[in-house]
Amino acid sequence: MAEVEAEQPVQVGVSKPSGVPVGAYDKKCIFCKIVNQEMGTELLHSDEELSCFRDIKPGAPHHYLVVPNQHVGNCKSLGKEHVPLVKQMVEVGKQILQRNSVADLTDVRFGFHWPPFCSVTHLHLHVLAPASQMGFMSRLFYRLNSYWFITSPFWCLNSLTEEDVRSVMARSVCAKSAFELWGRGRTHSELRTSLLNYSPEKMSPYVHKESTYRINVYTFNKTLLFADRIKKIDALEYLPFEGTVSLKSPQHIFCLLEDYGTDPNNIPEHPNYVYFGRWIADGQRELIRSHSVKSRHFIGNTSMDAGLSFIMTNHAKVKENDLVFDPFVGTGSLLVACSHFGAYVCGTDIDYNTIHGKGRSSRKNQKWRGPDENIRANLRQYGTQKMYVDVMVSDASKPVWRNAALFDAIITDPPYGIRESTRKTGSHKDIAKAPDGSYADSHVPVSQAYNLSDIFADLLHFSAQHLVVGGRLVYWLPVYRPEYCEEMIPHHACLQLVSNCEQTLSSHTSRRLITMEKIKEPKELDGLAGAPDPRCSPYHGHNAFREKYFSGLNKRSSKEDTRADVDGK
Amino acid sequence: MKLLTHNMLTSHVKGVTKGYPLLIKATEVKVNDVDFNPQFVCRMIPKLEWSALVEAADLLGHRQDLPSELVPDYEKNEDFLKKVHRALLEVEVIEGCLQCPESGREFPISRGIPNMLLNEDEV
Repeated sequence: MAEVEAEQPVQVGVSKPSGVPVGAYDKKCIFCKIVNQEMGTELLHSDEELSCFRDIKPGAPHHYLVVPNQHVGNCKSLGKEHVPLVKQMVEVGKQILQRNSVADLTDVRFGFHWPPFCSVTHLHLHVLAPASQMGFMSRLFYRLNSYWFITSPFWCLNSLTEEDVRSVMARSVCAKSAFELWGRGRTHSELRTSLLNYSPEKMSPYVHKESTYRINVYTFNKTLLFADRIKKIDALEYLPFEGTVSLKSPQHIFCLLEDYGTDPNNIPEHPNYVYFGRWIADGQRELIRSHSVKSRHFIGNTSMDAGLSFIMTNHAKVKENDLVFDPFVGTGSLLVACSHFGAYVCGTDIDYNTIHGKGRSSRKNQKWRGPDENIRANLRQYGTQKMYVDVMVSDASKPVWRNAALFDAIITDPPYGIRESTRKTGSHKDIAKAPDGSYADSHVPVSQAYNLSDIFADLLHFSAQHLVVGGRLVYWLPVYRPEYCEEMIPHHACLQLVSNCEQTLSSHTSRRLITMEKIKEPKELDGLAGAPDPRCSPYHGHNAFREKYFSGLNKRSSKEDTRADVDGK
Repeated sequence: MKLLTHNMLTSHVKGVTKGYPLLIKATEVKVNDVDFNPQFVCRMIPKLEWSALVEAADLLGHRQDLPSELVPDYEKNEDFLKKVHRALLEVEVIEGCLQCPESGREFPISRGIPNMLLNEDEV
């Protein structure tokens, strides 16, 4: 996300007095240039220390950036001496909001992006209001305590029941563990005060005489010696534990969590923050290892990574007894993930060899695929063969399903033309055919280019037809980052965009995980909406994305280079 | 190919208006054990074209006296659900073909996998 752009029209009537001393000035930094009036950006506030201007890509009706005039790096480089500066920045942010008649200062959001999620390395405070009117993406990027808006890998949540937490953790491959927070603090003495203030009634069910327990020490960004961990546990003796310690099978597990920041090259001696709580549940990160494609029976060149497959399955809300379909099934990585959560799975692919598990192996040191390399064998490997319905050789551009809401979810990774080509059946040529009009059994239908824009239009149209209402479509959309805008996401009257998450592939390309939910049955008219949309234009032309994907590698001009620096995260 | 899949497939040959159901011509049929899951069968029954399922099962010799009309209150009828389960998920066509009822176009099934690709002049 670029917050500033070089080609901005010059604003007249700027109120900044000239000659403000700018101490540390970085001539490459776009914010230094703005503050120094070199860009013609309108400054909404300017004093000896701070300046404020509008974000070039607002995430809410009011979205301002407050920056120090002197070049200060990102928030990692902040020290104690910067506390008054940051306080002053927040103050200026509030003033600007009030001056722009934002009255409700409870409905605002202030924050810094944590590297590497900031686009400009000049310290800048985002000021957004009203928080309730922020778009979906903005809510994601400017969410409190998210990775994009965060200072710690630990996330404190309020008003959740233990049941809610367990059900989320039973599915999440992103979260590691969840705890009931009993106390926290910047130091161990603060933690102690905090813990001693925790309600004894809430503690008592877990610390009474008959209970058994264990305490773990978990450190982020630092490894402690065993003896040190024991010391830390011993230091918690002020807690009213009356039960007996059981290392092997405790009824309750407690955890001391220590946060040593996120910079492995600069690990502090003492933790930045400490937490203590009762362990509730672990996430499903183990699945990433157990389902790794490295040990999978049958894989292809573009088999989806296990972690991402499970994330897609979660986005699609795949649950027990669902019927899930993948129109570009390949080696069935997504079906493996769906079947793990109890869904029945089927898929199609245009590639006969992949579906039948024939041809060259994708593995190193193995030339040809073995006799039992197929999707069914993959499910068998993970004990979910009973969830296998069928796979077929079929062309996604010519669906073979009867017109009915058959599937609870459609989850797929269409080919982008980079490592797997985009093909559909058909030919532009006149076909030489046997006189009796029949083909030999071995005839392979000719395939032709399948434009990316058509792939997505067909996919959305198909999903609108064949998903149950409330069912979800989850797929990857390749993006050429310098051209990306939210309007490029293909749309359909019957499908509502639920989420849009970016995975960066290179400095100029990424893919976006798009989740859509079917909100109504299509009518005759909606069918027409599936026609190519001018906004899909970046995907027009066969290999349109492929050309852009490879263009950035050597042809980038120096001007684009500068731009990419601003864009590049 | 399982009969659940067959029940959802239609002919997509150009110009065909009545392409459902596809006619099964099987040369090899196999019955595989699949864990019985009454919830899934109950969820699928309303989505099925019942008569197409019964006909297909009959053709393959696995009708097991399934009625030509769907019985009411099937949710509690475990015996009935087991039969539907068998027809939907256990009976598999390994070799043979699917034929479009209108155009007569045949789609081969080999090693249990239908090949639904049309030739370049048919699209």
